[in-house]
Amino acid sequence: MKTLGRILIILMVFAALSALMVVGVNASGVSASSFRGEGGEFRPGGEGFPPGFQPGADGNRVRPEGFEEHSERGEGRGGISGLMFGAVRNIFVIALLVTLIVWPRSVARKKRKMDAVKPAITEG
Amino acid sequence: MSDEVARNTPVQTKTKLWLDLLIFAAFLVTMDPRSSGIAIHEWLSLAMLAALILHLLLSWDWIVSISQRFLGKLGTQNRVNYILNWLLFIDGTLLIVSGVMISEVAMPFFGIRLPEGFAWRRLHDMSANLGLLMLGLHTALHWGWIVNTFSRYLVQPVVRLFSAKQKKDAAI
Repeated sequence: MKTLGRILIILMVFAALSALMVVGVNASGVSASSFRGEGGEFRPGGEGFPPGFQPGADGNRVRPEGFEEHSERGEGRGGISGLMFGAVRNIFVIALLVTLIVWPRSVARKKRKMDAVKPAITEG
Repeated sequence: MSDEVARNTPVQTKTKLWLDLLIFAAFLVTMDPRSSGIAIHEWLSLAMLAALILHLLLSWDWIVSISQRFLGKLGTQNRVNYILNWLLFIDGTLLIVSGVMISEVAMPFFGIRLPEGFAWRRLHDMSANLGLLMLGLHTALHWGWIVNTFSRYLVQPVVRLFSAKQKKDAAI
């Protein structure tokens, strides 16, 4: 019962944040409808492209910069090797952050320990 | 984090270690939808939501304790940790909500079709990149716990197993 209550609290906070985000994005007016014409199609000749977007090969479809022609989100770079490459790249980013934070702290802790030991040795 | 280790039972700590390893592996797969395929990306992300709820439940005592003491006397590391965890939760929520809004497999499977939005796609990419950075910070701040728990529940049992086998072989 206690666990169920805790799950409910987590889900309620999640739902509240989600609702805020949906309302925020809709209120900001930056949605798909902003980029489309009355007939539901994008109009390149209208007010120009939104920043970061470029027309597709057919001139009508619009996709974010860096998106490849053959794959928007799925199937593209390919299988296990692509997955391994992505995983290694992400692990590298995390490892870099861990090193940048943990290493200086570890050095500082060792230095503090050494400083604490030194007077004891000289006193001894 | 050390007081959290003291409060949790060994079973809880072990569960948390395996759960965290599972979440980390799933995170690495979901971070690359072009390689894993969109279906795996979406279903695994939704499954991760349940795992993350379990992760929060296992840290519940710490969350409650720090929430109560946040405005009072509290160490810097715990305070930074608490703020970062909230930011991670908000970013995770944005990641899931934007993912649901641009879903191509999971939501249509439930018969839900949402209007395609470039803003949601951009927010999804942005929150994913931000999530990776915050996960790095989260890992760094819990590095002591990770090393201790890894050593206690994964490395030491394996070492003990091998040394016991060697002793047995030597006795024979």
